[in-house]
Amino acid sequence: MTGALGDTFAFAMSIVIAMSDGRKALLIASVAAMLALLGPVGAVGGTSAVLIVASLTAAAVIAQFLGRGWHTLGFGSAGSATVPSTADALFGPRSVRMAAVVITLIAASWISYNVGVTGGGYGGGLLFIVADIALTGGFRLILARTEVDLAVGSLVVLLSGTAGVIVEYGMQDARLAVALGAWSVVVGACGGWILARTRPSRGDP
Amino acid sequence: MTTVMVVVVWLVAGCVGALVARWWKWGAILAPVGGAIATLLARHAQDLGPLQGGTWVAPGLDSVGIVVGTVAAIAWFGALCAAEERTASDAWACGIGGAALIVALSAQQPFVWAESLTVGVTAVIWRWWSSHLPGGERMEMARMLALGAALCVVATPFLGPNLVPIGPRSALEGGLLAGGVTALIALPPLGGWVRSLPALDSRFLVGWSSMVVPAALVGAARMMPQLPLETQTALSDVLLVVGLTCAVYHALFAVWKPRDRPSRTLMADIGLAAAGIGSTHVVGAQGALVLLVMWACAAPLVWSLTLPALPRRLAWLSVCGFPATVGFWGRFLVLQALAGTNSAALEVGVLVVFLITASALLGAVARPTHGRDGPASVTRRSLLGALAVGTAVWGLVPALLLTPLARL
Repeated sequence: MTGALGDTFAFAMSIVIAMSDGRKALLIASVAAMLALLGPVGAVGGTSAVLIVASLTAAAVIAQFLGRGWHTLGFGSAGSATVPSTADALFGPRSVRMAAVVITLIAASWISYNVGVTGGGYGGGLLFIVADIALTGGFRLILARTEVDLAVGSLVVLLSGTAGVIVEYGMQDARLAVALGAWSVVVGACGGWILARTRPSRGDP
Repeated sequence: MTTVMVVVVWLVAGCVGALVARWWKWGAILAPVGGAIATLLARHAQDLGPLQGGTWVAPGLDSVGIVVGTVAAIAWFGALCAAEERTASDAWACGIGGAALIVALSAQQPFVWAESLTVGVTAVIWRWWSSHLPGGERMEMARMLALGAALCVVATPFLGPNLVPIGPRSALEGGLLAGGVTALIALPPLGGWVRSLPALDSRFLVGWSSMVVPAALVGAARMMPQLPLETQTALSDVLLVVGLTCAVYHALFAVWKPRDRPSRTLMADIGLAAAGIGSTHVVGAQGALVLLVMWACAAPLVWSLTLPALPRRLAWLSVCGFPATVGFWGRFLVLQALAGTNSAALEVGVLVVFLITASALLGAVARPTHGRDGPASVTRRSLLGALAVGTAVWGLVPALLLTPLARL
């Protein structure tokens, strides 16, 4: 799915990534990022590229559940992974994140019109999707107020980086894409551990 | 000993240190000791050259790698000596961080450098997370370091042989790299998470200041000559301007707020080091590394809450920058590089050096306001006294440090 439809779908997915909160945010964000990125990845690398991104995402999701067993190791501190650890600001986190999504849309458009990919001139829709998702993850990291925000931001940036490598080099350098995407599995496991460390509390969104 | 063997020894030393720490309170010390021995025995590579070679890591370490790796182990040793307690987590963080540092210092491809930095950052974040530090401070630290690592990891795959050196793409890659490196060395936002450092034990600081920061700056310096012009300009200009801005800001606060003096002075020097790398002159990079090496040795002493005053005062004097101290040589080289860049940068650099000297002198004469003088054991006092004397003596024999670092 590329072209105008793909771009619109990717923008919708970036809103999902930015707005997802709570204990299922990591799961929702990883699936949303994968769905958005499959279009450009499939257009450049074909079925094998789609399989790489899908299996990396699946591994990251499985790692989230496996990571939940790690809390038995015993280290960690008190506090909930989904309750903000910084003071409240004038605007809530979701409004700020929504504003960031709008900025992301403009920045990703600029990138897609001005930045070329090696495979074939200017990337157009292919690069727009990757840039949009990557910037959304980056903003999620910058605006992080909870531990889950950190995990979501890192995972989305890494998945879009994997897709970016495939869009840039095609399947010539799949090893590089897999090496980058493997980090999303590590982040998924760490995210699972962070969530398992604390039980759901009354303050959780 | 090849690079791979050195990395394995760091990891094994970390594991052994963590296991022994459960029975013996000094067990964690085994991690930096093992790492230091392995680094000193590493196969010597004459000149690793710029990043972007063929293999993933070089078979050996050059003299810069050996000095930086050994000093990181010394810094961990000092921090563990200065701490009131040493845990298995310290040994794990030291082993994993040290292994990542060695890979970053011997990396031949930008992507491998970025990946190893990410491992080092993960070790630092995990060490903070497994502590009982306040959540807000941990969050500020983790989000900047995670962002920096993510930016570097995402930017570097695009610096391969297929690079298209035209138009905004190069500038965009430069921006990503600059954002990643500056976030890793805590330059943005001004003040940032470094404000929380006065409240910390130096064990939480040392993994970042002696491993992540040198690895990030050495990688940036080795990468810069090979980058396309637009990318190089974006990276060097950001490092120069943001580094000097950060240095002025922190140096002012270092003089003004005694409580924040250690962290602000460290950050002012890190800003100066970034500006030295951003100047793109070899002497600037050399001066930057001298400053980082100095802080790796001095940080455990100036941060310690329970040390007697003498080693702490000696460490502050080494930092202050009077002639024939390590701080003097580092700042002199950075100023020399800034003089070759432009006059405005030099003027700002001179102001920063003046403020840092004032701050360090005030630190040397003042009674500590952020801690307490406490009874330290004879072993701890002897080890830390030796570290303080070693840091001071290092400045009297500058060739010992400057000659190996000239390879960068």
